[in-house]
Amino acid sequence: MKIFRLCIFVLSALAAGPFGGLLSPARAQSLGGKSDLADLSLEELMQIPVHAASRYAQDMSEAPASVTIVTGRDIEAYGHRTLAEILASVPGFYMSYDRSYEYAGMRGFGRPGDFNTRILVLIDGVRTNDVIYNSSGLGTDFNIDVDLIDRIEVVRGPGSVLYGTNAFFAVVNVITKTGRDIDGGRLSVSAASFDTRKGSLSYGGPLRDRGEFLVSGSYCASDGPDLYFPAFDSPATNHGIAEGLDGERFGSYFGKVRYGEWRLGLALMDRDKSRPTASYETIFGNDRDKDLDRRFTADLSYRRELSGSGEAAAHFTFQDYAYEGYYFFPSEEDGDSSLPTLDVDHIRGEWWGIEAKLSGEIFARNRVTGGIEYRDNFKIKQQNYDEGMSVVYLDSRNNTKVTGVYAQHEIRFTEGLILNTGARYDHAEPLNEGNISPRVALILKPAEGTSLKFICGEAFRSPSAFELYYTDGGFTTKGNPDLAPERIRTYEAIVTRKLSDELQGKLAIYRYEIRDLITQYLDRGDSLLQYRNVDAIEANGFEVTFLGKAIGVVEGRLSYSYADARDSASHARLSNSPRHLATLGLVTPLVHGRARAAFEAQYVGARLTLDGNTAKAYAVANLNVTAAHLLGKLDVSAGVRNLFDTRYAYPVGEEFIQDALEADGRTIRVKCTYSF
Amino acid sequence: MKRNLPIILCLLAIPLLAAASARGGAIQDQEYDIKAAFIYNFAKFVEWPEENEAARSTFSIGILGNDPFGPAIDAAIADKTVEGKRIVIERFPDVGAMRRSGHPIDIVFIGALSADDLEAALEYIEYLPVLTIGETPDFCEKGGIINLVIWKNRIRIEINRAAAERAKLRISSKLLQLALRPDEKE
Repeated sequence: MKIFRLCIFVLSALAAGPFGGLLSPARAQSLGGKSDLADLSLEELMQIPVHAASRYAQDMSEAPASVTIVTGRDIEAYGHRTLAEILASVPGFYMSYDRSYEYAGMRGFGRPGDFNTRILVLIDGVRTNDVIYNSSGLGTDFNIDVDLIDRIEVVRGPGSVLYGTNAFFAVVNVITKTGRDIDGGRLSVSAASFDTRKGSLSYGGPLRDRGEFLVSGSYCASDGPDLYFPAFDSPATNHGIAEGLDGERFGSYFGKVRYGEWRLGLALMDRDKSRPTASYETIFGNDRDKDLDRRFTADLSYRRELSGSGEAAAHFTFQDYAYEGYYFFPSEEDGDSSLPTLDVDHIRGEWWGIEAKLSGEIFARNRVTGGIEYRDNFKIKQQNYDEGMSVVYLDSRNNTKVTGVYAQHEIRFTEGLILNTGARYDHAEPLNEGNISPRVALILKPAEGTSLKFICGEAFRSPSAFELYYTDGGFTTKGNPDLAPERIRTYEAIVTRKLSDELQGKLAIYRYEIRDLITQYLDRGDSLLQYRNVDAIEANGFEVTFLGKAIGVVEGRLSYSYADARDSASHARLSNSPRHLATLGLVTPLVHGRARAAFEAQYVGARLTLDGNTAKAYAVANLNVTAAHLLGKLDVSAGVRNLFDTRYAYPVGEEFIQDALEADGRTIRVKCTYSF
Repeated sequence: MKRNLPIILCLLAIPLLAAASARGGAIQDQEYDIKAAFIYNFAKFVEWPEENEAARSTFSIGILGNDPFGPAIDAAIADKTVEGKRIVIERFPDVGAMRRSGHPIDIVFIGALSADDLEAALEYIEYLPVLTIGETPDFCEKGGIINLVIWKNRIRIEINRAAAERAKLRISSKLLQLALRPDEKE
């Protein structure tokens, strides 16, 4: 609480600023590294490399997909704390949280029981979905602290053509900050609702004249809210109240060094999260139900620009994922919950991979990209046993090897007509599974500021080791070794138009056809959960997005998405599939540009739960105010999430007795960052 | 923690009220920290006409239209002076606001304005003793004095000497030498 009081004090100082003269230019102090630039001569200034801000935007107008860019500056302005909070603000995305993990839904698809297997998450271009669940942590279990994100490229549509499995609905490429971006040290402390306190320290800068380095560590502890679950409202289960059962602690450590063309990145995330929901029929109210996750990634990459705008790149990665789950079940013999049996999930996945990529112009107007990737998932270990390994229900060890080759060709008939074709072939051993993923895109630019894209593509997802092999001896789940890859074909048309100098509009219309979708089923015969290739699904929808500036200074985005996803055979609507989504985001400068206020609102339409009930539609609003360079070197960010304390619930998977779990109400956070 | 919420909300409201006078916005990027340093440096290599200097204790830099610098430029030049004068930064959403303010301006940075607005702005400023700095490809062709261009991933400058003469500004030969020469561009 001391940190919290400190933050209140700093916030008061910020609020007093405009009136007390604390922020007048004469008193504001120099900015450390940045003010030093003004001391350089013009000749020296002319030697500093810069990257034109428009470069990414230019690329996006020709990218064969619908892309959304989120910058580190946006993340800071809106005060987003997790990748999940960032994705919730991206058009077409919606989130669910079951108090263990965050799950992303996209364009009407958010299968309950799916561990984010259909969205590929890359960090600095390297795949991070693990080899057990094929998931990536989108919540507090994400590999890196979101403050280290320079920008995120969210690419909708099938990405298997370049990335293979998991790039089914979207690819989320997270690009981290560099040492030069930090340039010095940053110490940050924050306090938030539910006794959440977090600290982080980063240090980075140039390394001689050809490189740069960055090291960072962060740690967060939270007691979590007390929760009420109506499904457990009986005297035996504390009237459904879970007190102090939603706490978590997590830390992440990140290091990155670049020297010339070489770059080495290391990231470690460790999280300990209590599970208050009594999912998988564990004993309600037990404070030892927990999920422990650890993700480690190391990647060494080489990138070199070739003459004629070509590029050669290669990387080697080693990654390690560990999960330990503690589940307390009523004892078999007497059913007396005072003597619970501890069931343990012990999961470990280790893999390494190597990829080489070459791109360049081979003839005039013809650009070719080709690459080869090999991944050796050498350790896929899933164990489930009673405490002390007194009874072992599962001891599954596998390994898989994946080879992928891909090529993409872009031909520019004229400046306004581009044809982009590509395909990738993936072969997985020992299942002897082959997958071809083609994509064709036609891009037209009939006039300045207008682009039209027509895209048709296919993608696949191989079943995860969890879906194939996980079985816990007849308690909750059984495997299905006969699972086949699921496949998707998509058709999409995108129109982007500059409506004025400061306003851009985008319309995307799409149709998705999925077959052999892997879905979690509850076998009524033995009451066990199992994944099966059963569903064929069709989805049609569109998204409208406006991006730009209003009244000169307010930066904003507004989007509406419509998605109609149905079972192809029965035409029944899918569960956890909102038909309507809308987002609004506004950032306005305050106090002559020294502070910013960011407001966002998200509307998620009604979603069906697995029990056929409706999780009602809701709108939530968040407000965050940031002030930079207070007293020279202090940045302060203060925000309220769920401003109007809206009550709403997320549909959850078959492993829960409840079919929906209520989300947090209004919460606040104050964060102070000191630069040195 | 809930007890503190009303206090927090009130505190949040205060900066919002102060927003009534807000100007500017920003894309924060190393690019603009460097450009801010360029602008400060130009002040050392340009001479303003004597009558413009009389009885003023401040040196004024205006940012017209979209402000790509954000608070960084205020902080970067906070403890700097030009010939002993304190530097002040003023932000104007459009040329009308600049005209209405009636403040004397020494340097004006013109960010992303539409082609029409840029021409209107330059037309108004053309014969005033104001150093115009821009960053659009044809800024000098349209009558601006110094253009910041990105050339081979470096920031370089283009100078329109005729425009400088019209504004009665004297640009030092050192600055002229640093300008990107037409033959370099080929």
